[in-house]
Amino acid sequence: MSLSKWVNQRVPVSDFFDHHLRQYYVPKNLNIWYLFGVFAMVVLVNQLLSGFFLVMYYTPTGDDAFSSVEFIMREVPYGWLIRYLHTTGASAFFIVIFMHMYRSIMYGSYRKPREILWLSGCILFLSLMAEAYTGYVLPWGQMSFWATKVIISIIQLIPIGGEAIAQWVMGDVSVSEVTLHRFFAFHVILFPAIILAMVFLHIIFLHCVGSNNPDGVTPKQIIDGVPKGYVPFHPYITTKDIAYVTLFLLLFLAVVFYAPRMGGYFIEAENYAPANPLVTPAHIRPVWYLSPFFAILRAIPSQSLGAVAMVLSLVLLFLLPWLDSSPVRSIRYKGPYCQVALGIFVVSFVGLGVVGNLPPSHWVTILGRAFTLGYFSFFLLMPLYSRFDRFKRPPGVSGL
Amino acid sequence: MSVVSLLLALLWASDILAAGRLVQYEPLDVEITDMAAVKRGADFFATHCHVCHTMKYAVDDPITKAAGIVDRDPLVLDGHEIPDLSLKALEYSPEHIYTYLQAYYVDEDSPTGYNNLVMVNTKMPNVLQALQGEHRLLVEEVEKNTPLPRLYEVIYKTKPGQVTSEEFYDNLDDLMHYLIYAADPSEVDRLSIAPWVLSYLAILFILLFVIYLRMKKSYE
Ligand code: HEM
Repeated sequence: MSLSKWVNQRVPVSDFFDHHLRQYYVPKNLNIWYLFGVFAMVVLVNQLLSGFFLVMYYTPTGDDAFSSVEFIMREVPYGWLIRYLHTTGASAFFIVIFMHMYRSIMYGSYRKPREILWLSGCILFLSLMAEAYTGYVLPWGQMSFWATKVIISIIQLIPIGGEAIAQWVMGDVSVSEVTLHRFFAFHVILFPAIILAMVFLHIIFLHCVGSNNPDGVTPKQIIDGVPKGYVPFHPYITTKDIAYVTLFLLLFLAVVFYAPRMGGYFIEAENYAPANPLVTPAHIRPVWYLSPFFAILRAIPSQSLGAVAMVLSLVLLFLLPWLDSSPVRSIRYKGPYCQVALGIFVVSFVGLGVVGNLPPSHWVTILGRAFTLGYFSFFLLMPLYSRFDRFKRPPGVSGL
Repeated sequence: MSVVSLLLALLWASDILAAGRLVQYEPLDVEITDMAAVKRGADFFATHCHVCHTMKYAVDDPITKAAGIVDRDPLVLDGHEIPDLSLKALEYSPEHIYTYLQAYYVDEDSPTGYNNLVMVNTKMPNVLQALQGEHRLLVEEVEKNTPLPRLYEVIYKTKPGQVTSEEFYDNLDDLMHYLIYAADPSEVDRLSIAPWVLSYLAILFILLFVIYLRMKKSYE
């Protein structure tokens, strides 16, 4: 008896692969926006592997954290590569995820029947932010320390339970090396476990309902059990994904080799000074991928309302499937209101990111408020503008 | 709540370094693979800077060792530790340090006899004065103008040093090579590995893409 037969009689491995690869069908018109999911998986693997090696040398104590990172950069063979893969990977993760989410928003991938898939994505996004933030603290540089202080103060602003949560997260009366050790635990055990479990569920949820596509339509016509215009995941998508992942790695490694600090955006200059509770750095700014949300916090004159707005800006993502009442999914068939709204959303989000990194001034405040308004309008007015908008009927379907 | 306000205000505080500086940074072009310059820079550091400053994270580096730069505790001046310079090229920009070292001028009111246009009221004495010579302000007082003036627009040389201005700039250029190298020695490795890895991936991508196109055709 062959080995494969022996195994398959016990665990139906071949059936599983058939079901999820050779006989799993996806729309043929998936465009490059559909590559960011697999890119996210590649970056996730990169983070897990490089992180695994970093942990072999990194020391989460106040005295040694900073110098253990320098030890990795200088003394560990290819330690610099491991660390730059990890730091560049963190920023790459957010670039990829922002694209991935934007694709879902553009093509209405959050809508029926993919709401649960979308929600699993939103939870992933929050977990990624938590993972990135706890990781940012570990090198224990000036920015690590002071950014932690700022975020802890934001947690303390939460009216109910904020103080208690902040206390538990810090593990001390103020941010100290106890906090550092705690964040290490969050960063290497808790959040990675949540992310892995959620990615697993994300893919399961995806395979339950199948991929959406740039037209946002589901074909009615089935030929030989396969929807019209669909192709098998293997070999069609596997071949495509492998080719584009290679291109992605090329770009990614070009950054790792030539610009790993990305002019202070991927690794901030201030973080090359060890944490010092007595000296506040001259220039504190949020890391670029958290910048849009900080800009919202800063746009609101009252601090506690600012914190509420920041939380709300994330909560709105979860509600998106129920805010959109357009009869079509994809922006391709939506009308002018929706198209303008999407444009405003993009400008506002990018604008918030830029403004959040600038020192305060009259114009920064005004722009920050305008972009905050734009961001919230996109979501909160959606029930109205998506309902009363004109729309084009996609070819070959009657509705959603 | 006041701590929170303070921190949030700080978060948006403007760059004090930038605000304190009164001149533009001088342009600097460092080719880190020029190892001869890095070595000359290490020697310059050992002679002129190591008297006070340490290179904590670079002491095991062969070039640093060869220049005679050793591991020791930082010196203390007026109750402040004199900063370690091993990561300063990344913490500040290289241009910042490069311009700073050129920006001393005679100032009778200052305890050291000199002041600086990049870091105003710096505590560091003008240690390169013998080498560089002396500069005075061209104007009564330098205002915080926008755009910031270039160095040569606000100071002029009043006393020659042991070396010519050109030689002095070359010395500083070497020093910057060393400080940039010491802050992240991996740059040398990175630049030498990169072309190999990237061309490998480029060729691989082309092959895989051709395979994809052919596979795609069979589904038309
Ligand atoms: C670790 C993070 C993530 C990984 C590894 C991941 C992975 C994937 C993969 C492989 C796909 C299928 C390929 C594709 O459509 O691009 C996918 C689809 C999808 N993902 Fe994610 N994802 C992640 C995060 C997110 C987030 C943050 C969201 C939204 C908030 C999200 C929402 C979706 C949706 C709606 C789809 C279906 C899109 C469609 O069929 O049009 N994902 N994801």
